[in-house]
Amino acid sequence: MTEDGVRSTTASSIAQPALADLERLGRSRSLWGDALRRLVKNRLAVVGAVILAALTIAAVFAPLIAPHPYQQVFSGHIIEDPSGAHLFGTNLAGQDTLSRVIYGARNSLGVGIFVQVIILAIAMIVGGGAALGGKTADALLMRLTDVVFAFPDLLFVILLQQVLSGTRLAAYMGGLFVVFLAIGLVGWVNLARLIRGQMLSLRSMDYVLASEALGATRWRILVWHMFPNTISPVIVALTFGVPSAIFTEATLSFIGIGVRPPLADWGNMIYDGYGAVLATPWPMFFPALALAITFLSFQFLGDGLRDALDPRTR
Amino acid sequence: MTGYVLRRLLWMLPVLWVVTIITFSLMHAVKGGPFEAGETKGSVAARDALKAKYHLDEPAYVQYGYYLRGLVTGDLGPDLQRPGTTVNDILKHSYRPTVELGILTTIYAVVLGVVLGALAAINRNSIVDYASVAFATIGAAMPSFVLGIMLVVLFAVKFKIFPATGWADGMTDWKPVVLPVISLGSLPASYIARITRASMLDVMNQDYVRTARAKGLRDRVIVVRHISRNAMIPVLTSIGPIAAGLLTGSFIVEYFFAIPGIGRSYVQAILGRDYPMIMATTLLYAVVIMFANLMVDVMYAVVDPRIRYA
Repeated sequence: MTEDGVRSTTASSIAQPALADLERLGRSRSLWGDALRRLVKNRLAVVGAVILAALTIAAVFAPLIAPHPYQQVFSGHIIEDPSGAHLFGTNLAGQDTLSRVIYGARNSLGVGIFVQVIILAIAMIVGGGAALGGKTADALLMRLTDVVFAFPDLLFVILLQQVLSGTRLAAYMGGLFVVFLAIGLVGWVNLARLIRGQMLSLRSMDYVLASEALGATRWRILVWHMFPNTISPVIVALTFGVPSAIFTEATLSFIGIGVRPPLADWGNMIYDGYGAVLATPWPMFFPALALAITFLSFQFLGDGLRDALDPRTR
Repeated sequence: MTGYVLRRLLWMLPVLWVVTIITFSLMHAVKGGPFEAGETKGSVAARDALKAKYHLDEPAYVQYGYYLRGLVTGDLGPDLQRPGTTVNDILKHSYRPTVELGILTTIYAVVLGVVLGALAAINRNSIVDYASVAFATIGAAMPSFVLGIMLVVLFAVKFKIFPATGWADGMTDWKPVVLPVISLGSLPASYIARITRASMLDVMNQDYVRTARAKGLRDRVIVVRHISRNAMIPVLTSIGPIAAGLLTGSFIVEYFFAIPGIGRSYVQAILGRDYPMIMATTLLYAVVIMFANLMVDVMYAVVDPRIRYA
C-alpha cells in the first residue's frame, strides 16, 4: 500500500508506453475495456476466474448439483475411500464428502464476498470521510483506525462472535451471519487507510487541480476523478482480502466456534477429517484441497487484476 | 526522530485505554457471567459470595473502575477460572512459549522468505525460480492448521522424528519447536518470498544497478550493496503486519500443538467468561502489535533516507 505509493513514484518504474499502445491511442478506449483486455491476456488470472465461476455456480445450485443432501447419513459406510458410489468418499459420520464439499462452498464463498462488502462499506465511510471531511474528521477517524488496528484481530473476531451469538442476529444463515459481521468489523483498517491515502494523493494531482481551477464542483471531481482512480486499488485489495477472510472463517470453524456440524463447512470438515486422518486421509484431503484451490484462484485473479488495473506495476 | 518515537509511545496510552473500554463493554455484552448457574458448582450463597468478592455484583462501570485502578498499579486481577491465582501468575508462566514461538517463527519466515525470493529473482526464469515460486504458492494456499495436520501425520506419527504436541520449557529441547514453527511460519514465508522476488526484480532494472555493472563491480558487491539494500524496503514494511498476524495466528497453532502459551488460554477464558484474563490477553497483544508497528516505522526511516518523521 504505502510502499507501493513510494515505489510507483520513482521515475523508472513508470512504464514507457509501448509502440503498439501508442498506435491504439487514436481510438477511444475506456479504462475498463483496457483493463479487461489486459486481464484476459493473463492466463493464470483467467484460470482463477473460471474456477471461481464454477465454484459460485456449484454453491448457488448446490441442491441440484450435489449427489446427496449434505446431512444424509449412509449407515455402514463410514470413512470409505473414494469410490463410484461416493466419488470423494465418506466421513466419520457416514456422510458423502463430495456433497459436503459442494455445500461448503456456500460458506466459504459467502464469507469471502459478504465480509468484503462489510469491509468495503466501513472502509469507504472511514477512509473517504477522513480524506474529504476536513482536519477534525481526519484526526478522529484515523485515531479510530489506530485503535482497531491495535486489536489482535483473530482474538477480537472470537470475542465479537461470542457477543453477537447472544443476539437475534445469530439466527440468520445458521450462525454464519455473525461470523461475517465479526470478521468484517475487524478487517477494514487496511482498506480504510488505502482509500484515505489514495484520495489524499489524488487531491493534489494536477488534473484534479486543473478541474478545480476550471470551476468543477466537489461532486463532479469526486465522481469523475477521485472515484475511478480509487476504485482500482480497492478492487485489488478486496480480491486479496477474500482468501484471508475464507481462512479466518475456516479457522473459526476448525476450532469449533464458527459453523458447526451437521452444517457443511470446509473448516469443520477438515477438523472432522483430522479425527480420522490416521485411518484415511481422504475426508480431510478434499475440503483442504477445495480451500487451497479457492485460495489460489482468488490469488491469481488478484494478481491479474492488479497488473490489469495498474499497468505501472509491471 | 526521537520526538516522533516519544509521541508514538505516548499515543499508545490513550489507544490502550480505548481498547480496555471496548473490550470491557464487549465482554460484558456476552451473555452469562463467570459464576452463573451451570458454569460453576456450588450453592447460590457460595456463588453470591464469589461474585461479591470479585465485585461482579456491582454495575459494570464500577467494575471497570476497579479494573482500571488495578491496571495502573500493574495488577491484572484475579484469574476467575482458577481461584487463588492471579492473571499476573498465569501470564508469568505462559508468556515464554508464546514469545519463543513468535520470535522463532518470525526468524524462520523472514530468513526463508528472503532467501527464496532473492534466489528466485537472481536466477530468474530458471529451475530455482520456478521451484521457489511453486513453494511460495503452495505454502500460501494452506492455513496453518492444515499444514500442522500434515506435518504431524508425516513427522510425528509416520516417522516419529518430532513430537506431535508440547513445548520445551526454556528451549531445552529443540525438537518440539520444529513443527509448530514450520506450520505457523510457512504462510508468511511464502508471502515474504513473493514480495522479495518482486522487489528485487524491480530494483535490478534500476539505472544505478546498470551503472554499477558498467563500473565493473563484481556481481556479489552489486547484489549485496546495491540490490539487496534497496529491495529490502518493501520487505521491511511488510514485516509489521506479518508479525501482528503471526501473533494472533499463534493462538491456533498453540491450540493445535497444545503449547502452554497465552493464546491457548484465550479461548478458554472467553468461554469461561474469565473477564480479567480476556482483558489481559487482549491488552498484551495490543501492546505488542503497537510496538511491532512502531519498530517497523522506525526501521523504514533508517533504511530509506527519503523518509523523515517530524
